[in-house]
Amino acid sequence: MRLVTERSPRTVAARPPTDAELVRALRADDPAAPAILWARCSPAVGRLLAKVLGPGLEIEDLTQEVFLRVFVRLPSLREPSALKAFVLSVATNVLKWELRRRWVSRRVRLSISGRLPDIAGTSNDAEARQALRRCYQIFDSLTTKERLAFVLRYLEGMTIEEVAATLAVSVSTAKRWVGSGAGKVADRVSRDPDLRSFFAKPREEGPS
Amino acid sequence: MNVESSDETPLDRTAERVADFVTGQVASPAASRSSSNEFERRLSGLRRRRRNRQRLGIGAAVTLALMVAGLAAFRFKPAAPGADLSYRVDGQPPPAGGNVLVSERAESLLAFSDGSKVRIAARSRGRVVDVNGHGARFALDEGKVSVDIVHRPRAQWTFEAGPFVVSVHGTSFTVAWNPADTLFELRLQSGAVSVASPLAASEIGLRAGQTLRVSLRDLTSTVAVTVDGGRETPPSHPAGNTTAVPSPAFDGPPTTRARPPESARWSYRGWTTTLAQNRALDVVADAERRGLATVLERADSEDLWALANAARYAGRFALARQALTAQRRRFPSSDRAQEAAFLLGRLHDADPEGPGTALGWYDRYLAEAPDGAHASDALGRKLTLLQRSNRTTEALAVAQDYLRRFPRGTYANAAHALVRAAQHP
Repeated sequence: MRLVTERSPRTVAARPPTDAELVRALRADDPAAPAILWARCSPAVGRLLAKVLGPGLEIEDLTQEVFLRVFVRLPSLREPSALKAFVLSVATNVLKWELRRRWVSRRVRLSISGRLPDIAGTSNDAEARQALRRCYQIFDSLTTKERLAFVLRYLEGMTIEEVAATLAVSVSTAKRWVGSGAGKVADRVSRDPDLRSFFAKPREEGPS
Repeated sequence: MNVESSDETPLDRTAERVADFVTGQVASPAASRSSSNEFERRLSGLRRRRRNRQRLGIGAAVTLALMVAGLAAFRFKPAAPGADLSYRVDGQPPPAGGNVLVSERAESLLAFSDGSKVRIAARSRGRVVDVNGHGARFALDEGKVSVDIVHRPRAQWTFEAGPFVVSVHGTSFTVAWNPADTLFELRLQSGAVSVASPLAASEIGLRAGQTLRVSLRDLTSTVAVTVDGGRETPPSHPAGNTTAVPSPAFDGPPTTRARPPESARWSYRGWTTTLAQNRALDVVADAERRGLATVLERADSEDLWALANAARYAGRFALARQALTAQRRRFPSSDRAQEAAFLLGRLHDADPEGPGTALGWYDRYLAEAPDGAHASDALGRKLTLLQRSNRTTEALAVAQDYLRRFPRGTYANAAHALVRAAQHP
């Protein structure tokens, strides 16, 4: 099987391969398949990584790591049409590993402050940057599973069923983790006077 | 059966506000072409390693089968009367588990079971690489050895000194090798030897009383006759007491500057494959055994590139710089020459005397390959170096250039921060 991509002139009008076709092409070592996989899934993976970890230089590197693992684990994918869900579940595994690594780094104080220094949003607003930094400090205080469940549900807009499938747990467990994560976030925001007043203000502007 | 649904889970308003805010602040990284290329490059590396592992597995299985077959054959084979030679070092059995011999203070004597002797001078290093029924193969890493080989039918002794190979049958001679100065000297007392030299098209035959002296640095070879009764002269000394005589083995008259002949072309070493098996130290060791001066001057582009990378991975940065510089000098129009400029920048990144050299190499790379695979990195590294050395104005210009060319690149955050700081001091 050989995939036809935009690189080839005779392919302009060709329809993009389905997920199942793409999986078959990847398994057959089709040279065009990795680029299609990357173009199709890397934005979602990069977005998830950035939301969970905060923006940083290592997002691109971790995205590469996710896709290398996807390639290695591809033989274990039973349902080729579930490619995107499979990629996201690999991404959450990479995130678990990265969050644990960061937790250990904070414990052994590899960062002098014990906090990650490089949370830099896209806003020019100093107050917003400060609020973002504090939000990620709150995220850092969640357990890995609470943090992942919270981001998938609240930031990625997944249903509880989708969160459960991505984290490979039961719906009730996913629901418990989401509730616990959201509860802690709300509680800690309400106990931080600056954040409380920041979120009390109506904010209409998007990223600048 | 669990029938819970997200509909039953009302969202917490505060958490929802936090989520909206964070989502708005965190930009979604775009799928850039350079990231896709990088992924494909890493993926092909992964596939190559997996293939190598499979081949290694098959190779190991075949080797095991051959070993079992060999052991079985050995078990049923009667002991041969002409078995392999054995040897002792200063009257002791050879070093267990290895054959590296280092003599720090006094000379060491290797006495072989056929009566042949090899005396290793103090502060010399050498190895018995192989011993068989016909002789042995000895590699002199550095220093001097005096050799006395007993003549026997079909005897086969080989002495390697850097890129030189001396083949003997029955003779006495002294051979010295100074890898730092790439000087080789062989003084023949009796018998005959032939020497394979990287500067000669064919093997050089030497007769008793002759001394061969070769400098790879100066590309000179001299065959001389000793006239003072055979007193030895170390290779680094001038050959004042010798008389130059012509030798048919050389292309030109002795002591003339000689280019490496066409027939002495580089034999491909496959170091790229060795490196892909994570054996960087093996590549460097092989290069050293062949003589670094020779390798840097004669290796083909692929082996030279593999050596440069192996040296980087092994932390041999001076050698890496030499190999990359040689790549640029000898293959100036190749893609590797351009990439070498970027890697030279990386190697000079942390120079204690400042970033000048690194910046120069990055500029050169960006000039030679403005759309090259490392253009984003080169510009990003420039930005970092300029920031680190407080050259803020230049750093700002580079940051703006970076954002224009690579708005989603790895260094985009740092560049944005610099531009923001300049706009809101």
